[in-house]
Amino acid sequence: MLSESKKSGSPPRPPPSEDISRDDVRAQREAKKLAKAARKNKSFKGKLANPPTSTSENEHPVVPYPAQKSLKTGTTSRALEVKPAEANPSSQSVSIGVSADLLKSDSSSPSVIHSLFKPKKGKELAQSNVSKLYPPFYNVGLKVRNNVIRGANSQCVKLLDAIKDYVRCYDVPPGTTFKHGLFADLEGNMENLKTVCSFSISMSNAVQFLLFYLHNMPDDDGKVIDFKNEILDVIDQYIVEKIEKAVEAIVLYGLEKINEGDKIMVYSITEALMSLLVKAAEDGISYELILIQTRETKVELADVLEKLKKPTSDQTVRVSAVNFSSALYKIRSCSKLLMGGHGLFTNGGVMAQSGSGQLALVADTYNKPVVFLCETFKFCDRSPLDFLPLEEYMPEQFQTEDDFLEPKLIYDVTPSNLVTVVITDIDMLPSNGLAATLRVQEGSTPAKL
Amino acid sequence: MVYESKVQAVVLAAGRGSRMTQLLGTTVPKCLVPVCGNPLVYYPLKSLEAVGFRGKDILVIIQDRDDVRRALLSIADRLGLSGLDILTVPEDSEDFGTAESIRIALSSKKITRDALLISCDTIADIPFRELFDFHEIKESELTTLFVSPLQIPENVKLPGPKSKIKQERDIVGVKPGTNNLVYMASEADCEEEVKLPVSTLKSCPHTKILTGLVDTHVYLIKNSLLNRLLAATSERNFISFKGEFMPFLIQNHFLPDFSEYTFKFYACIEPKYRCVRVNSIPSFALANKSGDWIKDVFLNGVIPKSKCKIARGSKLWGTTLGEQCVVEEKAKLTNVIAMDGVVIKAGATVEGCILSSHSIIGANSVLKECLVGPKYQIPAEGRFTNEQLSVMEEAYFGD
Repeated sequence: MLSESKKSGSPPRPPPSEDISRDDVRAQREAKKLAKAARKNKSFKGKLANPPTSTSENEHPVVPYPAQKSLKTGTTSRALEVKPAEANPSSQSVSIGVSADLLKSDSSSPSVIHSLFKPKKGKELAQSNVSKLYPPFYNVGLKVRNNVIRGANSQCVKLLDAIKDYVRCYDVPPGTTFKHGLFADLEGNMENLKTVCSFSISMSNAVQFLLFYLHNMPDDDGKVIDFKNEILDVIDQYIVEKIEKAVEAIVLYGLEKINEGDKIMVYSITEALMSLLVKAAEDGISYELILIQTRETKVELADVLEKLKKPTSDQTVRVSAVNFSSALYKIRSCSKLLMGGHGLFTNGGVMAQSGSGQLALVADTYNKPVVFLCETFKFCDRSPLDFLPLEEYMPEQFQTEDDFLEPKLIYDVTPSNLVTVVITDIDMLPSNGLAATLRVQEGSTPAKL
Repeated sequence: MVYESKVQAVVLAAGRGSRMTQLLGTTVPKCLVPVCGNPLVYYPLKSLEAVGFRGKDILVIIQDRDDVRRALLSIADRLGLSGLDILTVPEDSEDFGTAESIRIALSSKKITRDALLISCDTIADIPFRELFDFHEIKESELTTLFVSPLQIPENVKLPGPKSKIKQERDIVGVKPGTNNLVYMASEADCEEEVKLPVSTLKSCPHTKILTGLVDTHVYLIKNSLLNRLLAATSERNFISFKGEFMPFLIQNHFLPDFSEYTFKFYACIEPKYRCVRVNSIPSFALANKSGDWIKDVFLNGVIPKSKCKIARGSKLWGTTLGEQCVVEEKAKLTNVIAMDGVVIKAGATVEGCILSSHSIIGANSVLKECLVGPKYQIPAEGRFTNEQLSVMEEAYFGD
């Protein structure tokens, strides 16, 4: 690939004549090569408007060899948003190549691709940001970022608990009212928290709800303690209605789908899914469970097995855990594929653990129903076609030895045509009908929740 | 709104430098030993200031000495740490150690929050953010910090007498994956063998033993655990926090009768950072010779200009001088570390030596690789090679 461009530029071999000697010919060729390289150098340095024809975004970013060196020195300051102290020169060579390509192609979201290849954010946290952040928030943020708190529901609940704690300790500064002060401060805190860890859909929805509620609270002339209690009650109500009761509702609906003698393939384990499996076992339905196992799901799988081991009416659930690649084979004997959802989108896409899209495709090929379980509070007002724009997909990145930054994908989106039904707390729906149903519902009950 | 720090930094600076007596005598307390122009206790305070600790969040425990107090206040001024909390401890008892310091601080209610214990002899690039984050994520009660030891810079010979440089190493056992701390001992304590208790191995069958790391003596410890220390020392007398109390805690918490205490100890291991603990003469020499590294680590640190008198005709090469030194004519100093107030008379040739405070090197003497104790006077025309010369002070013949 490298040599192609050179070959096109180098002159054709002159016919052997006595006029020009071999050395002269060689010298000519060298001179032409250098001239071409010099031209390419200049064009890269100038941050071109039109991309060179030899490279395109599809093929592996190949930078013509002599130009690569100049890239290291010339474009460092502009191409990367990385702190210069952080990145060492060798890693720059690869990432500069990529970013230069992408900037040239004028993608509408260069920051998206940049964020894929940015080194770990840890050290870049501004000290000032952290000191302005209420310590329990920082605690939650750290734990979410390091995957200590797993699962959308528990992340949301822990965040709301931290907010309750914060509200209890909040002192109104002089010069503002309770409502305005709290609103501004909470908003500021959440902004700062977003630099620590990326919010999951459940977390952002909860925060949005709370801020909206605060905004619409009547202006105070009451006692501060009353307001605080009111807010704490609202948060509790949110948790009970949107999370706990939702899970119970989903379990009720879901039980209709689990029949005696079913063989169910399960992936992307969330709280709702786990509750459903446990309830079905408790009710004495004897079904067979096939758990798909990957490296990231060790903790959840252990949890499920633990819970299913508890004495049920009769031990009638047979569980097998298989490798992800074995799903291709196992799906043939299964009756359905059951997965827990992390978020729902307007275009009907469902966000779930990385790999669920592939499993849905496999199930679809064999005409097996694909069932998602998702609470309605995880509805996200976006229509992503794939996973790249959403930041939650990459909470962690790591660098392999050869300085190639490999983004670690945690979630992906299953398109609506592969989804048979989504079981939510309001009803069992096909996934593209969900957006409309929710809008109608929210429209009819404006400021209640 | 800036939130109150929930961690209080405690700098243990009451030590006497029992492993450096030839260097210090009783004149210089360990925390004031000059390293690259600054007293030793400057460095931990500078690290704390750089990461954002304010004066009132720092407690310094010192001996009851005026010179220490004055030096501490002047350092606090230089660093902008106002409201530094100082606690003095009586310097009489012989078996005084870090555990005692902490106990006194606890009983006088000086430590009110979670404590970050730092020893005054730690000169290190301390990764505070990583340590605090680690502590939070693991919800640990005691987090230790292990980093790589500072290496001797190339082509540098350490001055001082050629003794068998026994590197003080720490032997650490951790549970791989979670980094629970399961075993901790100093190499000096283990004569020939390292003994791992069976109870430890039963609870943690897969233990990783690390020997290439150094304990920075930076401990992040919860208040509840500190209060247990207070309770525990009523039964047993612990002298050193690191040397005795911690191994006691770690080893005993696997024993069945201790199971009511569910302690969580973790070791934060950051081999990318370096540390030097100045508690012995070779490490003191190493710290003084690593000026470049110190300048890199402690940015914006000012190395004060010392008021020395250096006469013409003298040659100094690779030399560090303390405050108020006097070097007379035709003196030749090569690879020398001198502390405060040293007088080197004319014509003396000093090579590869460490000269303690207020020592006097007589005229035309030749010294090679010696350690001259405080206030010692080398006679004129004296020739010494590879010796430790010190004044016999009464304190050495303790009762």
